[in-house]
Amino acid sequence: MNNRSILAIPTRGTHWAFLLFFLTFFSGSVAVGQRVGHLFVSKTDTAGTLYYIYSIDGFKGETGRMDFDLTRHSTWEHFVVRFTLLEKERSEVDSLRLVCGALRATVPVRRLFVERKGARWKQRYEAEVDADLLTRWTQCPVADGVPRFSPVASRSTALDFRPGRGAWKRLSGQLRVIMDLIELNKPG
Amino acid sequence: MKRPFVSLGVACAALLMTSCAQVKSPLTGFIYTDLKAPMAVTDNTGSSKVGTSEAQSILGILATGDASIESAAKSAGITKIHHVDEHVSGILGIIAKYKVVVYGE
Repeated sequence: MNNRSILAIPTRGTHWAFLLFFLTFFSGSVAVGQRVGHLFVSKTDTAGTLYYIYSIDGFKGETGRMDFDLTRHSTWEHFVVRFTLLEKERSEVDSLRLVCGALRATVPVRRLFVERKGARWKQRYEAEVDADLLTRWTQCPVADGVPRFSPVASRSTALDFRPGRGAWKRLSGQLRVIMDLIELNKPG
Repeated sequence: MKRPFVSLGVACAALLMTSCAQVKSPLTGFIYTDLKAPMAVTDNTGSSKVGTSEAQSILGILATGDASIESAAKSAGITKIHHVDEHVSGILGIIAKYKVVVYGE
């Protein structure tokens, strides 16, 4: 009869069982290229479907932090890009430049609000970007260098924000799936 | 002799950890949570804008963020709210996120 307490330290076999469980559980997280349900929401109305891609961060710049989100209705030919700048010194941004290799597009922006966030300035802007152009930008191959998201301040140079290469490869794959989904659901 | 007590301590700690980073949710998923649910509806028409706000908790020890409807509406320049949803996610009670999604004009 085994008198060993059930509260005893787990055996090596138990360790392997736990390891196998966690590997199985997190293997779903590894295949993020195809798992996009948590990245966006959609809402169907009488005209079509409205898509909203949650805030994307991971773009870094020398002047501060930036994140942006995307909104598109299936009947629109453009995306609405809303982005937030968090900087020590406030920049008067008047346009947005998207760069990927030879692709360069500049669109005007509209300021939504400015507020203080601790010791920093939080500024929120929005811009309309042609859907094809934005889709090409999001599919920027790493071979061409990671894409640049560059809000342009009126009295100075562009504020460059770039993602890490690894993060971009993953994000680009996820955005491709969502963009394809939007195209497939466009009204005929 | 000490082994059972050590194991008991670990088990108790693990049990306490299970309710750590919990977030308000209509359904509970101990291992993994990722669900969307309704929060509010108004009489306003039109919802071409979407705004979000977010708060997060780590191990139930730190909780930060601003998941208010006002903040979500402001982020998209929404002045007339059509409806509000919530998006709850969490893994193993380690990290939990609570998003408020506001639709409107």
